[in-house]
Amino acid sequence: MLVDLVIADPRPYTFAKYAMPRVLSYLSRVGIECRLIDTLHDYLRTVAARRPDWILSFSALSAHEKPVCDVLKIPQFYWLEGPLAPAAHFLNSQFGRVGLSDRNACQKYNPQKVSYVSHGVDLEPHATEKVFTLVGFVNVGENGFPQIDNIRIDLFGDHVGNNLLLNLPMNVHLHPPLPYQEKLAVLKMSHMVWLDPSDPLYWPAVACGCLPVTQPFDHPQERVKELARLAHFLPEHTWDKQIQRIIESFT
Amino acid sequence: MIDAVTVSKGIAILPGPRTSFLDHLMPLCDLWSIPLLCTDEWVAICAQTFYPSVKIISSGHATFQHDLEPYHTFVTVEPCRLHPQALQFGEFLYRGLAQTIAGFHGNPSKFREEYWIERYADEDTVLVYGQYLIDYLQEKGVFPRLKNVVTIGNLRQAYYEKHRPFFERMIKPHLFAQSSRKTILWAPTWTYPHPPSGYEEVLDDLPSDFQVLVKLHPFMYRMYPEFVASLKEHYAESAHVRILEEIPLIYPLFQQADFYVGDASSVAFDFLAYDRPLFILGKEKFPWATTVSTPQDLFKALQQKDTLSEMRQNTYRYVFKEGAPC
Repeated sequence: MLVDLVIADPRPYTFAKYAMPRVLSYLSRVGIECRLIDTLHDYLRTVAARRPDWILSFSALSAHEKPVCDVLKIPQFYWLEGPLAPAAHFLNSQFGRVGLSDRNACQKYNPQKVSYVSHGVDLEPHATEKVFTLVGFVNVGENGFPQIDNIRIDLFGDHVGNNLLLNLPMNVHLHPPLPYQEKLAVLKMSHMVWLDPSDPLYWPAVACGCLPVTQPFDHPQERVKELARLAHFLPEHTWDKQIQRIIESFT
Repeated sequence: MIDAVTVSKGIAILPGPRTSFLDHLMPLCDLWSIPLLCTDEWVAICAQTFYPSVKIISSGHATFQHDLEPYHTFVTVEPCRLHPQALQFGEFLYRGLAQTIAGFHGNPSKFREEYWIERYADEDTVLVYGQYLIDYLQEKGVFPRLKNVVTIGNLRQAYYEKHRPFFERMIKPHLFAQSSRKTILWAPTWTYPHPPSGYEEVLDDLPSDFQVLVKLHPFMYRMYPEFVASLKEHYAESAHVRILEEIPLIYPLFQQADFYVGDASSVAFDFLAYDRPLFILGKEKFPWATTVSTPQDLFKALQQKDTLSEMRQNTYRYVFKEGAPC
């Protein structure tokens, strides 16, 4: 079997840049041959020489506004970092399918086209000092945010709005948006993160020792207990398990 | 005042290609005897050439966390905490291993309706020029969140005056030879996605008693190198038009200028230090400058009597609290 792994995005620190080495590592360990492709233009010119069995990508991959997989007639798995909405058009492609980290949302779609694949987690132990109490990755001015009086809240996002701080509680601190890998670094430094189980960062947060919450835990002992409970589920969310799911979707 | 600021194991940080930040950071480096860390080769060359008293650490890496390890105080002229281009700051700052001193790169006049000055809210120390910035920070709800605000006045001008003979030597090759013509410093802004147009309308019809130094925005050299090259070539032989190279110096140019022509730029606020007439070519209106909409209107206005001196002086006092030591 031959799989082409395509990243057609030059930005550093993205989900794709973080995930791809882990995908490559697992496929190699299970004996699947892969090619790493970073320029779509060159790929389209050369792929005919040896066609892969399927393509794995972290973006839709379009050529002349058509999905590349339909042009080449090669199955493609598009592993989404976030929600389906921006990529919904890809579901119309004949050879494309997507991986979505929101299990409930997956149930609304044809299972032949949409699979549940969470963001993978690394199970390495880490002992990072906690410096944030509660963090969130939201765009203040566009999205809602936690409004809790008695704790410091640090929100990372692309905040918008005129005079935004005038009406913001003094315990809420705003920071610029972070790329994927920096979000993981902040999660390792945080006790709690404001997100629900449908969020792609839910299990990575648990793996980073950060409790995902929609209501903060007042007592540290409760928080530690809940985090330990969730950590039991982490082995089901390793990178290896997610990538194996993708392989199985093609067999 | 700035002499109340203690800088322990400090380093100034200038990631990326922004040469214009040098003239704001280097007086601080000189004052506190701290080095400058930069990542862009041209910035390093400009820094070594025009500010030789400051030690330059040229990282050459997009990530320079290793270079920061010996230092405890990070000095910037933009918001420092978790700066999008320097995320590695975060490891130091949130663990309390370093503190930040964040200044501005000019008095802001644009983007007042946008979210940007709010990014200063979590800095350890914020340097402001004077009351204008304090009022701006108050208006935006940032000021009540700041831990330590220090008014530095017009430190850049003080730094220029301190090293004036050196700067005059450095700027001389860029200037006109002695002339009886009045000198206009024209500092047009940058635009995107196309370079600004209409240069010829201003430069080719210039009245015979004027000459123009054109200081392009530093972004122009990066975004439109071919446009800048053609502009330079077009006026290379002109005796009365000089397209300046990308150099960070500004006060040595002010010294030569009888008039400022530009737009809503922080450079216009800086020029108030000289109490000489300013003209805004465009639509923005300021009580201390004359707004003109066409080059012909500009040429007429240049010949008229100046009546705005008092307004300029009052504005200058408001913008830059005076008495900066250097």
